Amino acid sequence: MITVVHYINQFFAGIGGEEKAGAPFEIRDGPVGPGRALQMILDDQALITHTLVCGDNQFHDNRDDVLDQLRQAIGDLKPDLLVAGPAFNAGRYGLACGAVCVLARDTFDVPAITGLFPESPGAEVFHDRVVIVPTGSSAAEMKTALDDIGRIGLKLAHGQPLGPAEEEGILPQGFRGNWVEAPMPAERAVAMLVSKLRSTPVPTEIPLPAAGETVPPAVEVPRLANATLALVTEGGLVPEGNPDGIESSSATRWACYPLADLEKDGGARFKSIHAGYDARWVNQDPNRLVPLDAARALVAAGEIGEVHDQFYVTVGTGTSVTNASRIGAEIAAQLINEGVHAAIVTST
Amino acid sequence: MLGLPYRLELQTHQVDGVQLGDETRLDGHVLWVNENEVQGLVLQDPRIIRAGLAVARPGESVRIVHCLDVVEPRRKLEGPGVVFPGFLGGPETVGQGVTARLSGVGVMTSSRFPQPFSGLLAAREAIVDMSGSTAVYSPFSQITNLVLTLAPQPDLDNADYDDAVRRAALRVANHIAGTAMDRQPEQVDVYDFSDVDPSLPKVAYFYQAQGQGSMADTYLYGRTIENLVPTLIHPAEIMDGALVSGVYVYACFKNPTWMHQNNPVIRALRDRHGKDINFAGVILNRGHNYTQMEKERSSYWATKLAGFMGVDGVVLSAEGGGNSAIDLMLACQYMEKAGIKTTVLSYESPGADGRDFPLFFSVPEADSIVSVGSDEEQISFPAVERVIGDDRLLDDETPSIGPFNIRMHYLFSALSQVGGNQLAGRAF
Repeated sequence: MITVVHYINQFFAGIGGEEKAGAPFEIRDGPVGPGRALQMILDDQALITHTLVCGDNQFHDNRDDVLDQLRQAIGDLKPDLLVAGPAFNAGRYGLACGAVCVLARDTFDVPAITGLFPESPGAEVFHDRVVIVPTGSSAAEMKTALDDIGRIGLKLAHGQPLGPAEEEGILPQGFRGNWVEAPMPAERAVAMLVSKLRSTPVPTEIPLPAAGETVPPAVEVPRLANATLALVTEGGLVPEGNPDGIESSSATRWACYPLADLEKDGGARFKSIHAGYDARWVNQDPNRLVPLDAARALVAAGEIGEVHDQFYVTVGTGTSVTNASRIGAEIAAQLINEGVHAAIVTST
Repeated sequence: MLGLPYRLELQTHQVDGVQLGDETRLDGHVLWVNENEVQGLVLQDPRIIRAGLAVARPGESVRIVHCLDVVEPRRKLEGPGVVFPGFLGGPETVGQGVTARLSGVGVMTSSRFPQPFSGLLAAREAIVDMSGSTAVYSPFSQITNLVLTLAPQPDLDNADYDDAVRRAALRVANHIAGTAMDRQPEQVDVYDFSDVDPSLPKVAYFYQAQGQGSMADTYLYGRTIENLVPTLIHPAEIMDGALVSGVYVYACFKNPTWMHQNNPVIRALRDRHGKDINFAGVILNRGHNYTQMEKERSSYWATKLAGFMGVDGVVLSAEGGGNSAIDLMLACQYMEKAGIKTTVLSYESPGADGRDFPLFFSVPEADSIVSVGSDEEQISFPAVERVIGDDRLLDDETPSIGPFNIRMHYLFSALSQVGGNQLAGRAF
């Protein structure tokens, strides 16, 4: 039998309203309040063994203590599922439900679910971390909310993966993945165009971001003749054997190597491991990717001060935005740390 | 515009089973193939020193590895030219008359390359499973594959061997389709779009194929599309094999020759011609222009052609990602700015945790995108009873019999952006 532990606040436990919001944490046997209706929905498929109750102010004013008590209780009870709320549009109660769900899942690997109004504070804070059934704004929607919680909660308790948010009827958890879909994409694309031509457009399958981050141009380097210039590339030029294990696509790593090594044997010990361009010509002469010959000539002509003695490298094909941003920030931080004034970044 | 003399009758002969036997013939819906005959055809080319033949049927516990290309058997029965023009004959314009096809079967090539190359020039692993949980991904799990397992003359250049393998598959496919001669087809599809209903919107297909250089090229009438400015081509020419694949970048993105011959967007537009739209034709574009100037030049050119055609809407698809995604999105942007409505087919790449913005590059005008799925999935391949191609995977030499976990990238044609798969990337 699937066991369920249910978290509710003082109001739904029948202790009282705002005047009782300081009610201490307690554990009761069996279902309480909305838990009784939930038990009827779960029928013989799952049993609510205990109800955890805490006043809304108590939860937030003594958060660490209450979380300790919750941790102790969930650890002892080890349910197959934790249900919190539903809390509808309630602010403090909704935030508590989200926090309890995170605790159950992250600390004890107990699947957890709550029900919240989509624009409530709890939904805004926890939507990308917790399975949330969207509810109406008030307890008048209790029956529908509990039906949804029961249905999806049982799936979670049985370890069944959830499908896309829209199909499951949950708030999007903020990640994308694959789903088997009919009809095939070509037919969906033609149908989408026909709808658009009829001025009855159907929603895009990949919504665009509100606005991309725009990077302002860097300020001019005041005295180039005194500046230290670094050479940076996403073109995957590494010493033979790729000692730092930079991935040939979808990179998570970057490295830097001494220019002195690159200049030995005309760069013959360096090869590009980049999987997104034909690197034969770079392998013949790495100056085509890391323009060290040109940089040295500019130093000799007095146009720039000096070339930084290491070059920086990663691979920029299939690299996720998160990793690319992190790699860029890390390289930039190190360049600044090493007193570099300017950099040339070559891309392929 | 394309209402001139173009009329192709594509005759379909359904194949439900493939057997190796004494004679190459079509017996009902069963294709019999003489192994020696096919081997002889392949080994005509001294660049190939060994040719095995294996059959992989849907539902069998079989895994094919090192997949290079798949070709649907087709043969020109009436009209000018040959199928696969520029390869099996001269470049005479095709797309008219009668062509026979064997459906439900593909001639697949599987091989390692002779020289150890890294980066773009290497063939990447490409896997098709014929049954089980992994069979949902590749369109080639749904058809019977007649697999040519080939070995190169060892001191050959990779590009040279690639040419040999491509021509071998085309020869075999054309030969086998000869079994359809003098038989009644089960189905006839006519590629003729000269009947135009002026009350319906005109729609074109912006068809971008990969032209990234050696080992990542597409062939048009026998020559690579490198340096191609967008050009007009009739859908019927593509049905006759005007486009042939030579792309070995990540397998999931690949449009094999079979996908060109059976392009799902062309099929969907044909099905709606005269009902919801007038199918005005195909603008073929080279993907992976190298510089911003070339990208803009190409996108302006495609938009200009769409303007000449007087179309109201365009469906756009690409092959591969990165540079190709920029080419695709710029074309979408310029067309929308010219008042032409667009929808775009794209794969997505939302990062390992699925929480990144899933497109490498986008334009605000791309407000109607269909997702063919995410390349971030890790796939668990179960153990299978039989492997065709090699007992080891490329790269890390994992035993190919399984089980193993591998990224989506190595699943053959699983995210082909002409949209013939069964996936969608969705918000969870």
